Amino acid sequence: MMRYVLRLTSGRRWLIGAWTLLSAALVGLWLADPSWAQEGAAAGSAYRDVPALGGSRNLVWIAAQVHLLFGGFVLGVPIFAWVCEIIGVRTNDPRYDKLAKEFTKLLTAAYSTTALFGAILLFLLIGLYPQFMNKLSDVFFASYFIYAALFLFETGVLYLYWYGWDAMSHRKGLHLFIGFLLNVFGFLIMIVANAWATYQNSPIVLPAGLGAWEQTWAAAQNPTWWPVNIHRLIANVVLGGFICGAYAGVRYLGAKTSEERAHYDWMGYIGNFIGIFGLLPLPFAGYWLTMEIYRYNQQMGITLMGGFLSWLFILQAVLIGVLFLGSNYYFWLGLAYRTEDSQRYKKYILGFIAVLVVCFGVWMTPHSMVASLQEARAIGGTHHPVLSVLGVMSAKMTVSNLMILVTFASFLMYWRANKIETVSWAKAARAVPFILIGLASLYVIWAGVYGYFVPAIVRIYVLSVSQVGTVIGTLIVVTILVAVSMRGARETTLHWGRVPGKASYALVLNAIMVILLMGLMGYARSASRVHWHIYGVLEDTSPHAFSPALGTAALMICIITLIFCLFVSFIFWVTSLSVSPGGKIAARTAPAGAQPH
Amino acid sequence: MGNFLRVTVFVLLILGAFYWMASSIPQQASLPPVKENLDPSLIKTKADLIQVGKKLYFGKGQCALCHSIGESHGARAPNLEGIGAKLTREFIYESLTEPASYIYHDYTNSPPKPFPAQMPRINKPPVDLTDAELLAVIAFVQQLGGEVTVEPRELAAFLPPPVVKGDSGLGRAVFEKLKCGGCHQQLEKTLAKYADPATLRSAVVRPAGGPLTGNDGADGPLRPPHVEFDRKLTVKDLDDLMAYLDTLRAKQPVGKGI
Repeated sequence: MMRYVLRLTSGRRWLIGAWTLLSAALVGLWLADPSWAQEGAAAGSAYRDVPALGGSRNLVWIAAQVHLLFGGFVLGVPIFAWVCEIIGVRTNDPRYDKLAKEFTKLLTAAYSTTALFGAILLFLLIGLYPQFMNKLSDVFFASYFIYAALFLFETGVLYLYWYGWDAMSHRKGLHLFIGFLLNVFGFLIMIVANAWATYQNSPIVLPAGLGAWEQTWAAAQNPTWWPVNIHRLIANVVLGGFICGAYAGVRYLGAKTSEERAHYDWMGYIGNFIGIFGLLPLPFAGYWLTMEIYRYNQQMGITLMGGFLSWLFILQAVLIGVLFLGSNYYFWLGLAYRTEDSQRYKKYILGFIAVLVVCFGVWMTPHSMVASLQEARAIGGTHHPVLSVLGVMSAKMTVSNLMILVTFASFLMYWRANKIETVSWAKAARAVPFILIGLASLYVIWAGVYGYFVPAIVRIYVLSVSQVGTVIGTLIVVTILVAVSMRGARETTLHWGRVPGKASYALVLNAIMVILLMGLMGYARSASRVHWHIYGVLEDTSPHAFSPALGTAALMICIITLIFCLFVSFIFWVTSLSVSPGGKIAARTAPAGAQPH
Repeated sequence: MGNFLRVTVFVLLILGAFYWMASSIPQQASLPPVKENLDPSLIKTKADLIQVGKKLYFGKGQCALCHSIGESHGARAPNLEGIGAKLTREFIYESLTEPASYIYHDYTNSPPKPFPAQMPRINKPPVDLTDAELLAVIAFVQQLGGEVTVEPRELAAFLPPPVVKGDSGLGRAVFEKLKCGGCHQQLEKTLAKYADPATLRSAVVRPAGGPLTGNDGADGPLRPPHVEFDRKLTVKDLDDLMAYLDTLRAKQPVGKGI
């Protein structure tokens, strides 16, 4: 009989203690002043407030963002777990099947917590913002049935996918089909919830006399619905990838055997790769979303990019810049420690660092400075005579595209580090990708400079779009070219498990950057509505109708990140408690023939 | 324990750095706008009306975000230079309140967009101009090459109800005692001209002072009895008379012809 043993190390006791303390603190704050329950309880009131954590808005903020982060994780992980399983089936490599199963194990543990925070959010909204929920229910009542049905299907399919893994090991086709359904239901759940959120930002006029279903469908098809659907789909993969990478990084630090180190080193690499894979097209999806916001309501676009939120994008640039640096640094550590004869890459890495740092600097350069009167006089105004040139969109589009190309080049170098092409055109196969990346970089720079001399409309609709098209095109063409050239390539050994501990910290850094980014951009989306619950339809007349300054928002985002990390740590710890009959933790068991490469 | 603590400290350091950075850059909260309502009683002339309309066009109405007056590369909506000569008042009103109902055939800068009403209904949230403000915007648009047909007195219909201190029944007695009806046979015209109660009160007792008290031929030359009123009438009489005149004003049709 399988015996489960709880082995509580001092670290785990510490974790339990922290989690319990946090829960108790939250409940304590909630119950600190029961009088809130009576306040505003009169029939027809628009709001109720609570004294805890700065009021009802902050509570909803925390619950919504933590729910969104968990939601992103549980919708992103099945996508690449399923892809890993397919790779395992196609290559007959058991490592991928094991990795997919380990990803899914994390997913099942996080799934119930996602639902828990969803329920907390719903209770808070019904209790604290009854008028808003009434309005939203009037418009979207029909969608509640769809959402509930999808949730049931998603849960059922997830159970089948997870618990049927071993039982269906000889019917992989069926198991993969269930995994496909899991992703389909997950995607549909996401777009239903996105319909509610995007309607808040970009509602359309709903003609009178529509039935419940027609009204829901009409309201869902608002201008930012699909841009947000695509943006979140990609972002979920990025979040899931980097969190799995961080999980592997932490496990790597605590690994006791060389097999464990090799496994978690490899898992960390896959997590980082998935994160980067999603990160590269993410700015393009963001660009599309912002364009649609401008098209829908120019004032909202200006509030977002040129108004009181403009400095938020400097913060965003710093976070994304650190994320790019962290991801590249992880690739470079892999090159240095896992491959043989790694010295040959040194000069390239130095070049990449130089380009990334310069691009990072340009991206985080603001257009206008906040200066004292004396400083403003000294530089001749609030715009720096030289640096302000770098603060405009043309420069930022250029450097973000260049950072993507450099990161892709880093990955390409790593991808080919242990392979020697055997195709007849091997010499061209090694040179052409880098020539294409170089040409794409030159075009991106030319379009960026030319953008200063044309009207805004040309820059937005022609040059920026052509920059994006060039980079995406290069990524696709080069990937196909390299994949074809690698067929039948000879491989040398990659030494998994040799990277130093700082690689794990790079993985943790990347995960924290993505969580902070999601928190920051969630605040941006919400604040762009200014004092409206539903823009132009339902005004926020509560005492919390203002949007806080960035410092306050950052504090809230840090609290949210901390709460999310504590819950994720707890969940991941729980998943590691199951041990095999021999007392060996199942997840740590090295698979047969597990010398990773 | 050691690894978990080290990672926790690392995460806290990252969060601390992020918070420090976010707190170091300019701090600006976004507060809900202060509600400003147009006071029609302050608009005396067409120039006043156009000035208010201009302020609304570049401010609360947010028209200038998309419309230019003159050629502009950045404009996303029709250039309004000379538009007053092309459009009727009714058409301008419809364009502001039902922007998707008809697309002006001279507008060829860009094709219509796939989702409806790219231009918001200007009398609905989030812009939400009042009827009086709409009149002012129409006047501003009309003067862009055309003739302004909106009259300042039309805004009187949107005046808030005055605070009535007197007794309208007693005021009627005062009205009859002074034989006001003998001279003011077209009283509704007079009341329309004196939309502001304070101005009307002033005109009753001091008919020779102020720009609005001049003879504009609307209801004949000024009569001598007015000169005596400030001596013949007590404050109570005047309050009662004002209350009675307000009841007459309330009977007039309002809000026509926007």
